[in-house]
Amino acid sequence: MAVEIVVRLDVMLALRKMKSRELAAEIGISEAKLSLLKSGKVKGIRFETLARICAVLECQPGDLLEAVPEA
Amino acid sequence: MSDALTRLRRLARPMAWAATLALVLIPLFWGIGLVSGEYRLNHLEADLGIALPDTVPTANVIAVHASGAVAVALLLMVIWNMRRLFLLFARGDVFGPEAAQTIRRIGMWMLATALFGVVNRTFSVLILTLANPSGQRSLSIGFSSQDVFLMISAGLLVAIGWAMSEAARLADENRSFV
Repeated sequence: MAVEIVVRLDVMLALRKMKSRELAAEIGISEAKLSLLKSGKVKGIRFETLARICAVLECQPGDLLEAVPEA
Repeated sequence: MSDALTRLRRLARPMAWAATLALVLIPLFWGIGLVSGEYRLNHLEADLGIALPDTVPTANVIAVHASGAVAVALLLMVIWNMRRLFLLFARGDVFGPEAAQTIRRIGMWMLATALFGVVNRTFSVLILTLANPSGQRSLSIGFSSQDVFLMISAGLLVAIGWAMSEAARLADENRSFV
């Protein structure tokens, strides 16, 4: 069964009541890049970026990424 | 931006200017040489290393100069593409597909310049001795070490161009990572 990776960053941001702009500033990437990540329009995410997001949002990588069956 | 890219951009600007200057000066000096008689028969004789007859029909001399003009034009195409590459580098477009394509073009034009150099010498000797009596006409075909060097350099540039295409693809992929 083929699966695709869905980014659940918007859910975590909502849970932490944090705005995209604040997160982008905290982890040191542009809002545009963060928006692309949120919408899943990226080919990948570096461990470095993932670690910074996890540190700021106090979560695990599994809270941000989910494997779902491909439509 | 890394130090290497900063240095590259800094170097590219004066190099683009130098290429622009060469694009103006090479045809200018070639034209001056033509008008001033630098390419007269005795000079051609020395350049080509052959004994020429006292008189060569004007049409033949014009044909040799026309062939020389083609050689200059090919050289200018090499420099034109070099200028284009330096301008791309100066803009910071180092790993783009355009830079890779331009490097390949430089190699192709350089190869054309090298091959035409060989053809041009052969053609010039033949044309200049065509008016000689039968048995005194010459046909000279030869590769100089400079021709070989130019051809190998051209091949190297084409190979680097292909490698740069792959680098451009990787850079593009890297850009789509956050």
